[in-house]
Amino acid sequence: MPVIKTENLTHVYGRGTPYMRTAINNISIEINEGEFVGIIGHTGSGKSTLIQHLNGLLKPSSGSVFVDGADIWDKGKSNLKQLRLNVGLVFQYPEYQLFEETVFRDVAYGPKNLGLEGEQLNKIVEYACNAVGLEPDLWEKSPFELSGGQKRRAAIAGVLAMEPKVLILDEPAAGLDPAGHKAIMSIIREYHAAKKNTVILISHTMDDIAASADRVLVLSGGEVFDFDTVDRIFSRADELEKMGLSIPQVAKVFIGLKERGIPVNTGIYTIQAAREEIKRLIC
Amino acid sequence: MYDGQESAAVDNVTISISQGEYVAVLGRNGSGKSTLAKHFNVILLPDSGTVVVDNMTTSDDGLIFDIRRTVGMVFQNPDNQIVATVVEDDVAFAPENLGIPPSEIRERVDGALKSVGMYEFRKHAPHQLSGGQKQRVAIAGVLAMQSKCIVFDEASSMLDPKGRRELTATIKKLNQDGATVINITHFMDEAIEADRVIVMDKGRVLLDGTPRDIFADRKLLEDAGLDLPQAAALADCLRQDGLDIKSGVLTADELVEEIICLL
Amino acid sequence: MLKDITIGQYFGGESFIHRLDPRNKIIMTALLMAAVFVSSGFAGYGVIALFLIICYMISGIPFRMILKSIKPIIPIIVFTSILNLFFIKEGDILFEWRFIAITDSGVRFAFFLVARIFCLVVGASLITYTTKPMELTDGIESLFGPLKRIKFPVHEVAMMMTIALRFVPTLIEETDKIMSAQKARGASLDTGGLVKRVKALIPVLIPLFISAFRRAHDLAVAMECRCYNGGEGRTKMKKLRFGFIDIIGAFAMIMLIAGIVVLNILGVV
Repeated sequence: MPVIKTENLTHVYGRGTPYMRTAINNISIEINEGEFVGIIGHTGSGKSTLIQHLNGLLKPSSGSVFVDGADIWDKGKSNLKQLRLNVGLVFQYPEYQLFEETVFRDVAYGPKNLGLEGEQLNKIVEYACNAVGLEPDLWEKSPFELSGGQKRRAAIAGVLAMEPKVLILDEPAAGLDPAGHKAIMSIIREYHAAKKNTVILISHTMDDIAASADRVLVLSGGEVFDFDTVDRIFSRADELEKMGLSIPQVAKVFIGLKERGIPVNTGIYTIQAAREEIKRLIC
Repeated sequence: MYDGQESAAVDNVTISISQGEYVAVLGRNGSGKSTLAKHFNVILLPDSGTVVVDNMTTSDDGLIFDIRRTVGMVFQNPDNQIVATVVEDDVAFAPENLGIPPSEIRERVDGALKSVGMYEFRKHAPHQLSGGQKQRVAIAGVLAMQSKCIVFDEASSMLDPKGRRELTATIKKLNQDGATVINITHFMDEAIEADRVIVMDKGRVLLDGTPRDIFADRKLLEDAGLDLPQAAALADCLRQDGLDIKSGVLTADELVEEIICLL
Repeated sequence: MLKDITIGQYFGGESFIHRLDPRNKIIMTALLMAAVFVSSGFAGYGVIALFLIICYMISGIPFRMILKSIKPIIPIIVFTSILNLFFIKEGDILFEWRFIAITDSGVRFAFFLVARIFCLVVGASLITYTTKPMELTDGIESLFGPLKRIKFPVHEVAMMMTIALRFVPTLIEETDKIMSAQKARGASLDTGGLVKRVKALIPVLIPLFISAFRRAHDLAVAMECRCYNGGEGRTKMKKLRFGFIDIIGAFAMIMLIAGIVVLNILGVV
């Protein structure tokens, strides 16, 4: 059974005003338990709108969202809080939501809302801080004393501490330097490998998605352009580029070679695969 | 241009940037890139050493506004540098501060907006624009000061790929039109566009040279917390595999040519 | 979306009233207020109401906008008119029941009060409907310019208003985002009693303030980089111009005031 399923999901902003805009249109997707799904699309393609439906922050204009087989808008409001804890959402620049006096207490905010306390609460917070690589000597510091990369980790820990069944991250590495970017991405990959929980990652950086995801959902103009394995999606790299997305340079090399009439496989996006394909070509 | 000694942020940096150059500054967070840049237009003053801009020393109080109009800055967060509620009013902000006559401000504003391709948005409110468009408005605001040099302080880091491409193209055009450009960035593909790359680490200049020279030294770059552009990394791997690919390949197109030569 | 809410309530257009110099509009609004207070009879209020209706027709602002601006103050109107009705004991009694007595002058006062508030609100709304907030700011800065002589920080106040106008949409959007983020962490922002709700807002307010201060700092640096040095020696790209249409507008307003004064002198009620 898919852990998340949408049926003809449509969302219209500002209905009945001059600002009316259909953000997502007729989206029907299924995401399986334990999958790592990447979502790509240009700005305004509906990525953020879509993920805010998956934990009930937005209500569909039409269509439905099922989590664990249950329609999340079926039984009224009482379940929404539980749902938001099951489906953890890390927003863009999540460090802007830090507010507590210490890192530890900030990370504890989510699980506390869940009703955890005492030893149980401490344990889960410690787990989350460790999972994002925050050293214990930082736990009692004010979150506002941390460096940019550390703040980002603390904010992500705040969502991990709720032990969501599904973890959704919107551009978790945006604005960080290359080292910080790599660190965040490897935290997410390790989390997925260890927990085997479902992870949904929105990223503009195709390399991140290529290196982590099982399947990729491509959105364009609020609709599903394609939803398939990483290999198959990247074999359409030239189309993605035309949609205004940036594709890995390695993929560009192979598109370039193909345009010059050289018979190469264009679904290549990692350096390792590229090495092998070029060796095959030359030998 | 700058020679100072601030133990933490910027340490004993001696560099000189010429009129018309396109310089990219790389380095991990906290390497002192932004601190260095803030010395170029008297937002910060050196604890020791001097900064000279267009023959003006930044420690000279009387020259502050002459220096600030010579070196314009575009910052990271597009929202936090737009002052006015209408695009054209914002672009007019600097010339108004400088006391330029109204008719000339109008000319400068229209000219600046046209050269960044935002003229048709002149009546829009900032919050109706995309991130890339806001950054172009910020650039127009600097152009309206008629700055000789424009510093981009991680100006692309909050943009999506499309906004980043727009910005990179605009920067290149400005440089071709004669402006000196200093682009502080985390993105290697932007650094490739520059004539010269300066790599900072721990407040010091680690490397200074053409992109081809800089990206040839993979080990040193990685020590400074930076990446190779992916095409350069692939070229490097292929060389290790014994293929005859010349060093200094930076872009996908160049690598395509190299591979075709081998076939 | 929250960010689509416009600030002030500018209603775009190119009408005669839209094109008036904002300084002129501010003065005209002040004069209109004076007329409302000077007027002392049914005829006077009738003239003012007619004047306002004509203004709204010229400006192309739909009449439902009048209702919209009146709506929030209906309770005040009802409350004060009831006070007047019941507590003015002079004049002939029209209606009496136990301790309640309504007199004819009570009715008159109540009516004038309602008419006054109505004209004031509808008149003041017209200027906000037809003038961009920025133009209003410029108008205020220019009108109060002479106060600089007595060291009143006119430019600074106008700059503060400009920046506030500029950042309100940004901060509204930010509030929206922070609220969503905290809800995603299980915050209940819309349930529970008042105390609980206020407490639940802390995780929204703290990040919002921190962000506002960060933006303020960034903006200050950006303004310095663009040679900002206060109002001294500053020029303006857009000069306010008191043109021919402003003379016509001012003339109409003077006629209105003259009319009211004449009605008062003649004692027409």
